[in-house]
Amino acid sequence: MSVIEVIEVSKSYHEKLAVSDVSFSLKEQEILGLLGPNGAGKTTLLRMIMGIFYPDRGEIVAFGKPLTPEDKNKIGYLPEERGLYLKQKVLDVLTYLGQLKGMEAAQARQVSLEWLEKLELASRADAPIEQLSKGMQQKVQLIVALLNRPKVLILDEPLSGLDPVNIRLVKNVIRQLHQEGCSVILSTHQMNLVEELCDRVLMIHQGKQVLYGSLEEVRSNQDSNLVLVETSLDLGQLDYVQSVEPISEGKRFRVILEKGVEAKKFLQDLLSKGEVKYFEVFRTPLEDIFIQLVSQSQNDRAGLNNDDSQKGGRDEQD
Amino acid sequence: MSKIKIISKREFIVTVKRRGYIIATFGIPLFFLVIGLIALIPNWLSLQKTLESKKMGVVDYAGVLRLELAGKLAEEFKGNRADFYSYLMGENQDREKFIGRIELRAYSSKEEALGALEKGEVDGVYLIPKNYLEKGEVELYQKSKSPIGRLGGFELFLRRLLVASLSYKRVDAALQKRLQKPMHTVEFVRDREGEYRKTHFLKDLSKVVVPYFFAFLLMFSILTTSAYLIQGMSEEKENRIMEILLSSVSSQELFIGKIIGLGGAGLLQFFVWMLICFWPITFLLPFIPLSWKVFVGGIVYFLLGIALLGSLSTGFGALGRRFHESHQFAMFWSMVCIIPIFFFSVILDAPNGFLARFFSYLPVTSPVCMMMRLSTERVDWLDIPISILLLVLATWLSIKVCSRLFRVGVLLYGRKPSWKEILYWLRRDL
Repeated sequence: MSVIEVIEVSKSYHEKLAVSDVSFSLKEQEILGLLGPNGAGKTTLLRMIMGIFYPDRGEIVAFGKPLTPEDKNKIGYLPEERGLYLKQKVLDVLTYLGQLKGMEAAQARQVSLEWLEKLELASRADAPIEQLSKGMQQKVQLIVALLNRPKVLILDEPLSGLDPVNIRLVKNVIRQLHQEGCSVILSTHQMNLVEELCDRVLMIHQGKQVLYGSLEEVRSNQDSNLVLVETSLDLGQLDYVQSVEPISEGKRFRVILEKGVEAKKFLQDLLSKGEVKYFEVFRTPLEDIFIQLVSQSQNDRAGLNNDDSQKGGRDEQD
Repeated sequence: MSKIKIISKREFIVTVKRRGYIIATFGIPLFFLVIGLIALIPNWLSLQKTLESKKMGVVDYAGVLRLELAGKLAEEFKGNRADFYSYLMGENQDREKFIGRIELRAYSSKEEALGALEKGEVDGVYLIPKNYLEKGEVELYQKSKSPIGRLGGFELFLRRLLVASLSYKRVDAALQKRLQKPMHTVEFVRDREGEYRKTHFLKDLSKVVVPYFFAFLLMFSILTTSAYLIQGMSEEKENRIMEILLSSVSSQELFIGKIIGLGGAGLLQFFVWMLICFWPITFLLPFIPLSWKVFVGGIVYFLLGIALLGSLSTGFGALGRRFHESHQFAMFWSMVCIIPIFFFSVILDAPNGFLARFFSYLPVTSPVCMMMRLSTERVDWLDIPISILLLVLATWLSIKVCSRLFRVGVLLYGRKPSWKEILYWLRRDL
């Protein structure tokens, strides 16, 4: 079941298209990675899900019904723009923001104290926020998103500015919430984080959706069927092997299989014929897929622009 | 608790706890009190001097004064506080009642009198020349010009003494009394019901002071409140917390909550100012005749005025990048709101005239203008519901439009939108 459904949503800012016909869903107890280069439209998309901006076209459905202001109480949000009341005490700010999420003051205070304890900030509860380090402020802001035990959590770059110890701490919090049934949209540029935590990914570029699916699906669509093998067998004899290239002084080979051929079948065939000392299916890192898609999209756009200008030039000549 | 209530409560508490707010709330009236006291000291000293016994020298070359009448006349010049009030109320014109004790010293020659003046034995010397009866001219000699009229009322004493002396045994006692006080004007002015009623000095004074007081009260309250609104909003913009807030509440809830909370803080501040500044003149309150309608109307216009001008200031103020820029945007509306103050005398002369009505129907100026008109007690009562209705509609519209501006302004961090963009966002929501 989907907790959030974004259906053909578009948004423009005064003649600039920020999001164009984006559709995706966030399933129950799922972590969805939202990827895209800077200025791709991620923040606009998240702001629309939070009801901060309204879509020009399309619809956002939350918990089975069109998004309403009341849904804000069920969604936790850590925006990319970090900000808190710097002059005020940590606990006071958390209590106030908890109340705005529909909690009673006493409850908000109690839950805030629990989270401060979990994130090792209990001793700073009465300190003004401006006295906290950037990383500590970042954790306080994360607590704001978690206070109301949200059903959906939207995190925009949750690990930026954190040291390795705190990165681990925050990752564990995300995992714990996920296990407890929370659905998460994780917007980040850290591909390893997506590979580590996310079930599915959505990538947008220049406002358009360019990739959407589970990590496996994304990879299988993008992988070039590259396998590393160490064997004495003659690999060229197999008819579905596209190319063989020796590496590591001729002991190992880079083998590219025909599209649609599973690496598992290749391994079974090799084992039936002789000894295989090393076998590795080469997975394209998500980062490479990201860069490849962004470059491809930019090239396509450049091509379109060239076509347009050439066409324009011809029109003028005509 | 509704979100608007939570926001307004927080905004109110945070604002009243600010050091700047506390200093302004108690410091500004104390500053003005100190300044006022410093200004009052010389006046008070001078008044004391006026009220203390005056020693005057008289040289009567014309031989018209009957000095034996001076003692009885001096008795009439001793008054008390009640005499002073009744004079202020216009019940009598016995100005001599609060002039003080008069001591007359007669000298036979000008030289002798001026010698006494030099020695400080008298405060001044009146010389009645030989040709007084012919010309009516009396010479006054003093070391320096008295700041309080002609030697603090002594001239009135001398005038009465001359009348008493000249008419002595020539006319009967009743006529002599009338000659002393030939006329006492009792003024009657037509009221709203068309009846002529006796005027009242303090009442008349309050007709000028009260409208001014209320109009200034509203104006200052709006100025301070909008300054707090802009300051709070600029801080939130600079702290980048708006996105967090708008992920929990709507921009309209945030906007209204801020106006209520900070408007409350502004009103509280002004209430404190009133308490501190006005207790010294509370003894005058019984003489300021205001009906309950003025107070109720005043509160309604006060609240609607703050809601309208607060929303306009905040909405337009949100478009500024920094505090000073936001303040400039907000100041425009504050200046528009106080325009009726500049037409004070015109509105007071004709509280139901064209200009008064124009400013009353124009929502931005109506709180200040109606406050003036209401306190004259001569306002056409039909104008009250009309102006309130227009003000309510304008406030509603302003909150609608300005909360949009507010959303655009606060989310466009560090960027000032162009007027073209502003119009674009007003037509379609962000």
